[in-house]
Amino acid sequence: MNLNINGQIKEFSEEIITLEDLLLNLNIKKLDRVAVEINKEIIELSVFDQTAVCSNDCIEIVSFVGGG
Amino acid sequence: MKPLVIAGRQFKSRLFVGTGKYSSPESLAASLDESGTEVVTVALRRVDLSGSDPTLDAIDFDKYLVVPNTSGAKDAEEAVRLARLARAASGLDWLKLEVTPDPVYLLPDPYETLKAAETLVKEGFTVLPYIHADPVLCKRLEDVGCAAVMPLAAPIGSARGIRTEEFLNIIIDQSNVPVVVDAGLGMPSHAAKAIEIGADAVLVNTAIAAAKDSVLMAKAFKLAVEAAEAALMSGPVEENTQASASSPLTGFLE
Repeated sequence: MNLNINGQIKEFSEEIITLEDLLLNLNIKKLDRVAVEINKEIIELSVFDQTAVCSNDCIEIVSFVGGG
Repeated sequence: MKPLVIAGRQFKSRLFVGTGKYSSPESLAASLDESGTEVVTVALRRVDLSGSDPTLDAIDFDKYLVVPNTSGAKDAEEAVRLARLARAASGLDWLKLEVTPDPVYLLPDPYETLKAAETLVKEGFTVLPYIHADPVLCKRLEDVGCAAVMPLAAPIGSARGIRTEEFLNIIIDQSNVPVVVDAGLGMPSHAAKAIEIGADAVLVNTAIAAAKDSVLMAKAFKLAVEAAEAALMSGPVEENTQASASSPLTGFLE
């Protein structure tokens, strides 16, 4: 399954079903204060484990960095 | 001096600190601590899939009110998208709204900022817009429900001090919401000046972050802001064009 994550096409195994699986695979913890958009729709943290990711989804994963 | 209250929340420190450009996470953490600030700003960016950014670990979300900005937004639509993401990530409604399509001077777009502010206030955000020192725009932003206004002293990171004083005076005179002077403050005297002319707070980033010793500069800004605050509360003397002798005018030798 191919996913577009933060502008990069990446290939994942079919074992990745939910957004939670994907973040675990990417070694991103929910505690990292991330926000996720799938196809421009924001996914609330509480439903990461119930949200399916599908081939060709466009996913943005953002978090905080230093800024003014 | 009135206590600093934004959206019902009271702050003791009138120094807000940005978290960009520090030489290391340790320097950032120590500078924030030394500054005595209670409010810090952060930006929102794509997660680096090759490893996490250690900057965030330096910011104690329990100790500081962390206010995400919408830096990078070039119009209202982009700012609103970033704001919603920031809220999802932080769990907080506070937002420093900035819409800066111009890459050279990073001057904020007034029309797009106002448009975004209107939308975001309706969505329940506590909006603090970064804007030019435009008194009319400040009133418009106040009217749509912004919790404070953040007019610039000079272009972001320019360290040129208060170049917009005449207009800041008008904004401070007219505003019913707190005025936070943001951007361009390069030296502690600039921050002191902002407080002395009646600003409710200042936001400083580059001047502290890019100093060789950020921790020492953080202390300097803290002292300057506190000095100006104490001076205002002391009941300072009025300016006068003529001299007024400090020594007695009697008892001279014959």
